Amino acid sequence: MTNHWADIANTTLVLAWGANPAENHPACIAHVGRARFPKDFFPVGDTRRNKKPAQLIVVDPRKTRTASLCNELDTSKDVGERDRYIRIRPGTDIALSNGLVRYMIETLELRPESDPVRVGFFRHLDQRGTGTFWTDGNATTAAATAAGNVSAGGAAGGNSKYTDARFLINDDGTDYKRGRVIASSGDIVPDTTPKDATTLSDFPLKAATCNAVGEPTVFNKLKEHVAPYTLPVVADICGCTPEEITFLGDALIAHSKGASGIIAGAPGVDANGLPIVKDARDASFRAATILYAMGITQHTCGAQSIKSFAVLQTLLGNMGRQGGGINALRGIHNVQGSTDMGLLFGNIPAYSGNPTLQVDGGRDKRVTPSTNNAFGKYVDALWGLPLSGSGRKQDGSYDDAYNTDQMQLQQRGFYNMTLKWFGNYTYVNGLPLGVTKRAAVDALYSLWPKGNGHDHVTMFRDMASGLTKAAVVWGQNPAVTEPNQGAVRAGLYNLDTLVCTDIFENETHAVKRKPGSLTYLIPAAATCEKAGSATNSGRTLQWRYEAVKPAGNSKDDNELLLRFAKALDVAGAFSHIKDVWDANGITYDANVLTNDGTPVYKQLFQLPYGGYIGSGNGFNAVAGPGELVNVRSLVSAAVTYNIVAPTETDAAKFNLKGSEWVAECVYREFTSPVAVGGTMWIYTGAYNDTATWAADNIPAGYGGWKVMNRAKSRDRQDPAGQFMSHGWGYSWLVNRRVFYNNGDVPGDVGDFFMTADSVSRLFVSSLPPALLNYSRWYRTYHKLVDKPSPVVAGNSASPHYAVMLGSPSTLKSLSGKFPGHTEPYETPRQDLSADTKWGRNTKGTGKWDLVKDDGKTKVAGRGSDGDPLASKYPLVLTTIRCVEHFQGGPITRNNPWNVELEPVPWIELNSADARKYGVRDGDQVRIVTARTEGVGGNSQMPDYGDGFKARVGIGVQTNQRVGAGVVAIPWHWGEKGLSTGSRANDLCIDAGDANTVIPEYKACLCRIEKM
Amino acid sequence: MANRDTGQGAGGISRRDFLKTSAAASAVVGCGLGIAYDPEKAAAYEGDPNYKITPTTCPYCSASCGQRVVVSKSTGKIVDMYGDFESPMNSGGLCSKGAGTLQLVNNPRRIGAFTGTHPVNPVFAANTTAFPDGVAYKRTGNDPWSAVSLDAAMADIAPKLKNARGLVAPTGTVLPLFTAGDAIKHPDTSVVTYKGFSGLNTVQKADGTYFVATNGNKKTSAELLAIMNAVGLGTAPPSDLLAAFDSLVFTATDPTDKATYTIEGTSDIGAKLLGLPTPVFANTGDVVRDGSTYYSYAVDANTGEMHVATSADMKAWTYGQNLGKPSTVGNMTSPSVLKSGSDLKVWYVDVKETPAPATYKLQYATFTAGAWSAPVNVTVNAVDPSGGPGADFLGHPLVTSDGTTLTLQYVLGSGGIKKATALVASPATFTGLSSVYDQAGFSEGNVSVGNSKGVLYTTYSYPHPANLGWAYSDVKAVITATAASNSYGVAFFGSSHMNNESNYMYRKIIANFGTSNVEHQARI
Repeated sequence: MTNHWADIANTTLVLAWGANPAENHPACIAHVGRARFPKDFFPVGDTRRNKKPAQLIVVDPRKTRTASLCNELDTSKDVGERDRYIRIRPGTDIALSNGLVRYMIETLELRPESDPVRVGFFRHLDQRGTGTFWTDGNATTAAATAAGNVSAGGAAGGNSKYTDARFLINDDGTDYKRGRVIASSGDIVPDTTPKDATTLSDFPLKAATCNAVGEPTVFNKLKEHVAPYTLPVVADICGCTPEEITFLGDALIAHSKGASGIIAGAPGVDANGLPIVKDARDASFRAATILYAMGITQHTCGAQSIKSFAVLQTLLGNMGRQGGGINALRGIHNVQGSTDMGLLFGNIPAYSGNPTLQVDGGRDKRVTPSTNNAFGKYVDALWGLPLSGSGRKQDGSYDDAYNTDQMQLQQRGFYNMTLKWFGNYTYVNGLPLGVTKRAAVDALYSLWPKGNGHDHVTMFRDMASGLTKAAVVWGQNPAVTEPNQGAVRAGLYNLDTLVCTDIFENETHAVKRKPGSLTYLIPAAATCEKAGSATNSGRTLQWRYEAVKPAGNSKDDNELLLRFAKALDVAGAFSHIKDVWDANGITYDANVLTNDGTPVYKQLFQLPYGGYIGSGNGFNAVAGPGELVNVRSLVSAAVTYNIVAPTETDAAKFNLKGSEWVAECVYREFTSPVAVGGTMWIYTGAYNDTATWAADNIPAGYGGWKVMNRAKSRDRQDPAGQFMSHGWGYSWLVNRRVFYNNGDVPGDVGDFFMTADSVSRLFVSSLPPALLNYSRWYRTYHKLVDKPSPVVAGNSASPHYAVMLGSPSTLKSLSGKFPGHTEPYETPRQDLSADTKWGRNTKGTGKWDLVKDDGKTKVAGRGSDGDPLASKYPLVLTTIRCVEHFQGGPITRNNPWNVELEPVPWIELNSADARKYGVRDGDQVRIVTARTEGVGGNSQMPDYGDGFKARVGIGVQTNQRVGAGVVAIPWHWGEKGLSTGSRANDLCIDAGDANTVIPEYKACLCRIEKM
Repeated sequence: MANRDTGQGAGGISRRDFLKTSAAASAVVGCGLGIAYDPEKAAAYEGDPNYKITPTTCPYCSASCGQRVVVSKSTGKIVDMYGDFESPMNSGGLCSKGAGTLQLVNNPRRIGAFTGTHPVNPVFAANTTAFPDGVAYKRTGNDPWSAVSLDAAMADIAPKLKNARGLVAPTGTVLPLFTAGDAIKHPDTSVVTYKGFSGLNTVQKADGTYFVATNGNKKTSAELLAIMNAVGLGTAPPSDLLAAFDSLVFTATDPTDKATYTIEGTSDIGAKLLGLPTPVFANTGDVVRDGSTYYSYAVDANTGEMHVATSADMKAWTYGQNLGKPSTVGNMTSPSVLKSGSDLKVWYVDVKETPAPATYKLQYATFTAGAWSAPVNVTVNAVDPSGGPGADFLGHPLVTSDGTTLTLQYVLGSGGIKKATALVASPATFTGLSSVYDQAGFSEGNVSVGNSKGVLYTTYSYPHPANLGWAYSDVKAVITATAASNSYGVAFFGSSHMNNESNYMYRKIIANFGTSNVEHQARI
């Protein structure tokens, strides 16, 4: 989420698009309720009672319980301000989004030039200002002033906290230049001999001339891009009406930044002379928020769909505003945290890419000794570099990639992590300078695994092929959660060794295995039996205490991991690490070798984290000093804290033991400020025991922090009355609750976000190399073009979405441009997928195959391949969830209460389709896709034949859960637990998004058979 | 324990109340707090000295509703959980899943958590007497689960994972670790695979730097130049290219046209070796340092005879003489030379291509006073089902000596690198066979070392680009390429149910283990 949960209460338009928070994030609806019914929530006398009650619009193929909240007939509101549910066909989100962009621009351009909304709309796109100025926001200014407010036309100074980049816009608005900050003075030194400016001028023109006719501006390129998305075309693709598109477009305009703060027909100003646009408490405030979830991401164009929201909200000026933003409602309580921790095949913690042997091929070829070896090359390629980092400077000099004084946040965090993960953790502050240091850092860097792992879908293919011989499954249930179970289970079957930890026995543990293979299942603790932090969808860290010890034989994850690490060291799996220490003179604690023959474990786990000593309560025996936070014991009592001050030495007084202490040690490692050794730049400062600990990154009005471990902070104050609660937990980055705020959000920690620049980043051409260099981040993660290329070498199937690398050279574009609509991999609209204007993700011959073409994924609609035609599978199957069960159900299907509420798997069907296929409500039906055609009774999918209970819609079409031609299927069931039943993922396709490899759970083709 | 099935008697919330609550939560109302909050329950525990209350957050979705855990001080058990009315995330409300968290924690179906009769499988009942330090459940194939101690399980699991992973070598420019990569992956695309650079041999100089020698290359010099351009030198002029290799000893032999190519100027040894009777198309030529002199031994693959050149600086070489070969040897391929004064002990594979089928025998012979001793077949006194005299030995048998022990590493054509040791005596009898890397499919199998400060790294050629792939570490390091350290032998799955600290530690272990083959439930 760019914003956070409680901030949803600030919005005036909730656009739930591909999300069903009423069932899947029920607490969210409380925040939505505050926005919709301020008079019911705020007490009499609170000015926020007069806030504009939020409109609710739900876009979804299914009329979810969230959609059911819409009051479409509220006669107290104008028709255009009423709630609305808009049904679209699965997988057509980008078409609708682009249609909205086209419609909104056209509508605004038709308005009189004096129209205040039109004025506001173009004002925020035009960041030219009145003179040469720097576009970075002031990160530390709590209350924005006119002089420091970009949107007010002022020049902002200061450091934006996570980059020292300074982008200069000329007063003619034509170009960027790059400058740098002199550390000693803080002065910004612009480029006076702009050789780089010459290169960067290839960039699309900036906002100053954004809507000038004929200019190659990003805005004009966007208009050109969305030109084909006319109302009739979009309505046809999406299966909605043109009126629904214009209704949504008009609503978005009415809740954009340009429409905010208009009083009596003219923009209003507050007591400081600043536009009211930013104060969510004001009755004239307008902002729209987009809530999305798996309905958007689980498509072969998932990442592009999210990007289309970025275009939409950037254009509307709703980024970086209270009640605005793009808010991903994440599925599991710590998905955000485990993503932050880099538990992905392409990342290490804090969103740095996997270390690599690759040489930066950019224009700034490293030639100086400071940067021309392994560690230096890698950090030069991190986010934002080399434009803004330790790369070549305007004066031709280089920052020293090995000098901690010259590192940016991300570089410093990675440096700390390299030293703490692979070497001597005390080196972070004590490494000697000079050549020895460089060699030591490079030696430890050499221990990083290089390059990416394999993605989720590929991993199971690797198991089946024998490449992967063992798997460690820590709290997952892929035998239910992964699509195309036939391939998944073939992989699990073939593993030599399968090691699982969980609290229940689930389908993965019990899966059919080959003779002689070994499966281990280790009992884990429940959440309140272990200590640690979790990061919620709004990026907020909160601590979870160990309320009781793990029950029986079950163990805290941290204890299991420490014992796992120790066992691996005993087995020699870390010997290569000690080899490097010895070979390079890396010193380690003197006790390491005299301990128990596990030097790497001792150096890297036991010493920094307390560790597991062995014998009965070895884990619980470790202890150390930390803070305690008392929940108030009486409802009326204040929260109390016991603080260990930086000078506190009385360790026994606040002694944390076992789980609490080990978690605290690990937490401090990744949350301490990077300047004092913290390893994760995004979490920097979430623990702070430096001299500034009480006041750092908390706005005035809160009275400062009460604890150094800010995940434990339970200060619920909201002094600005804007649902911020900066004292409740800690949000990355730097406790900022609204991202990209440009210092525009009163009371929040300021940010840097420049609309025009960010739009420009969305549009990056493949040439010249300097631009690729500039847009490295996008180049790395957005490798698709904006629309299908009709011809791709070596692939007769066209059109083709993914552009492959390599020859011919004309196909080398790696950039992501504006998102364009493509049909799902399996689509009922083959007329559209065959149209080169839209296309479909097809089987390719290069690295971006969107389905593993190994004979293990059967695909409908591929007549030329000899597979059954789409006519055999006339319905679209889309996965859904219900509130009573959770994900693959391994938890909730073991809870009698949940099972009693939802005992059996079911599907939802439109009454028209039910009549067509002779299905009545309550009938048991079989769903068949190309994946399961003819495999009923297959030994590796034993429960497939159970079928699903049909829930048939009643009443008018618009009021039924699903539209005609669509079958909705929850995927919570499997063959274990109190409630067993057919697995939806036997049916689903594992065609993956080319950027993220997320499978297309939300759209495949099926047919229905009565059992 | 039986009452856990329904939750009745667990304290706080009855099943009937729960259904009422969750039904209200399911049918979300559109106003204000749409989820269930029971202030009466909170009031019942807050301030009661019989209970300890601990805050936590809900274990389900990412809305992170605050929860409070009520523990009875008398029993130490969790008796209730309810919404944390202080949390700005939920103001005390919980949905029908969250309201049932108590049942999750106290669920008798949890494995290894509660004593008594387990409702699913008796083996899952907790037994802290038999397993005071943790338990794991184990099954072989599809046999029933059995309980073992956690330590025993860890001790069993760890070596299995290590073996599945295979070798991991640290990578980077600092380590003097050179591969004999038969297939080298283009670093920019991870797709294109170049053949070439086989049969690398490394030697450490007195100053600690390393030289690399290679013969037996399958590329012409023009192709090599093209490859080197492709790996990062762009359109650099040849002089720049060659400068990049100024510290390398580099020769290449094309086995097809049986001519030796050198990259001009990259080293003098190439030029000097051109002075050898041509064509020379041997495999690895061993380079040995003896005092301040370097000796290069290369085999003429046409005659099977060994030649020697000497150098003081690895740049200027002086051709010595044709040392010939033992009389009965066919082709003395890839010699590994131990030098003692003017005496040589040469370990090699005797290749006889006729009569068919070809035979490969691991042998050694001594070159003393200008004459060869009779060859001695090497035996390995251990169970080696595919080894022993007469088996297919491939490539470069590496023999090293520490003065008392010989260490032999060799490759079998049937797969795997084997390692054996013998006391320094002649004839040597090798014992203690172990598998350094047990993997079918080795073809070239040149074993080489980079020996740095007592650490022995073993590298080898293994033409399996889809799995291991070789990658360059530097544009100047075409020859100092090291094994890509990312292993796909083990797949790791993390969980969004783990706390940050556990995820962090898990990711660290995975990185220490030498792979980035990891995924979590990001997509759900």
